Amino acid sequence: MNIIDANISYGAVYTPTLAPCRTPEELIAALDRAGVERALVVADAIRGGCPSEMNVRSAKETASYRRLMPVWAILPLETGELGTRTEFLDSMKRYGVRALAAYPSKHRYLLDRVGCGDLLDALVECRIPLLLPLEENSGGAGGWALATKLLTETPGLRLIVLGTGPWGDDRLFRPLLRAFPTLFIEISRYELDGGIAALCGKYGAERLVYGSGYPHWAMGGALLTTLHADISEADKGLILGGNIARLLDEVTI
Amino acid sequence: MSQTTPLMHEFRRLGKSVSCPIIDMHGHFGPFNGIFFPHVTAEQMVGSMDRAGVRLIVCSSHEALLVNSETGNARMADVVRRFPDRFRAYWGVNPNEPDTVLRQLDGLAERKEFVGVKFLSDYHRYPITGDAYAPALAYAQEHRMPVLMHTWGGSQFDGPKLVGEVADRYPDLVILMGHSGYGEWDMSISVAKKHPNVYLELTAAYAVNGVVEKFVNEAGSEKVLFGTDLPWFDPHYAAGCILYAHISDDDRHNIFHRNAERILAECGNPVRF
Repeated sequence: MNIIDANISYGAVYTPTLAPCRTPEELIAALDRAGVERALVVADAIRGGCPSEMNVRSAKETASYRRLMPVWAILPLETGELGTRTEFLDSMKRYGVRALAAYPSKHRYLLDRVGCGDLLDALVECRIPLLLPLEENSGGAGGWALATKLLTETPGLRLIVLGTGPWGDDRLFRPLLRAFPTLFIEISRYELDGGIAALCGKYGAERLVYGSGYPHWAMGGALLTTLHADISEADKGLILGGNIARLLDEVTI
Repeated sequence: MSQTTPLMHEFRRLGKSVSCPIIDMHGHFGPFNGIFFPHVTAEQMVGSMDRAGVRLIVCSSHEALLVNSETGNARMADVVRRFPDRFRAYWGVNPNEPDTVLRQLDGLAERKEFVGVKFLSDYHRYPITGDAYAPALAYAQEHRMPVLMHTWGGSQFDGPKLVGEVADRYPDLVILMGHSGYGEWDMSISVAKKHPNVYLELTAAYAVNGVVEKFVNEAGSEKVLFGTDLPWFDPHYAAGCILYAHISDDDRHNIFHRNAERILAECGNPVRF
């Protein structure tokens, strides 16, 4: 089983961190120990710094590591920081970037049709997955409300919500899974006992994407939970790598 | 970077270990207002425990803690009687009904279903140092019953500094710091190191990368306990965090079962697998 971690990061420490992972080399060692083949990786510098510089810099940092697939952050195209739509997509292609992430709180913009409509349309047309951490907010909407707004306003957007929490989110996100077929749930913090099997039974394993949240969250929790969930081996394969591999393969830039 | 170990391999392959059973010292029972539980019955909980090699769980009733202590604790006792080899219970204490607490403590130590008491002070908005808890604390110390306290960093009701104050007042009381004073790791470790009978219980804390290593390195694995809040959290999640932490298999044995076995035995409730 080729395991792919869809939620992993590295970078220098600027806030108190118990067990940082500062470099791609350290990340590779952690993946090796956990038996993880590849990972979608966000450089902390993209969140803490400005994507206009850090997107490309992070791609260069990880370029020599075939197993690390860089994720870039989006900004509204209006400011020109990421270039035009065509320039941005060309740059993604040049650096092998096939997934994007949004941090509207951190980067201070509105993640909606007015703020990002042209870019969101490009994501739909090119089938580019957008990673959205659950703690992000935009225009007064946060978490699942923001996800609902995004998917309602931009049908077909392939949205992967990161960090679905342990304290009881099913009542919040299950209606979204029913309503929006292009919503995917990343499970690094989905600790609910029996939760994975219940979701697979009702919505299909195709809707779940394995991630660890490492190094902010421990590497082994979601991994062991998924490996021994009460589901078929085929479903485990989808969650642990098959689904994200398919999503990345279907990108058309 | 430490390498993989036999216990890591065994759990990864089988989901559990023959040589390393798990005792879960922080469970609950019954539905809860703010969450959907796919596995909510005792039978379903046993199924989850079996998958992860959890041989015994010590639970408190959600109903007892938040709705009705009489009926909730009675249902909890019934679960222990139905599954005597798999469940033990904490008596859920509501400090906002102090007369009820006094009445319920009478004869509690003779009820073999209950091996300890449980405080949920953040939810009750009542400090663990408050007078209403004193009878339960004195009773638990006298009868050698562990007290599992929900503890959370920064809380004015059950932060780790307050746990230290309780431990100072009741030096022979066995205190299990549920969630290990989540977030206030250094203070929690300091309290556990200072007081021989204070333990760090890992529910939810295990997920924070580096916490398990920090506890083991600074407090010692003899002071760390396995817990999951089941039916909240999958035992495999907690086990995975501990298994992939950079500690030894000997440390993992302490956390998974040895410490709990010792505590339960010293409290007159030895575990026989």
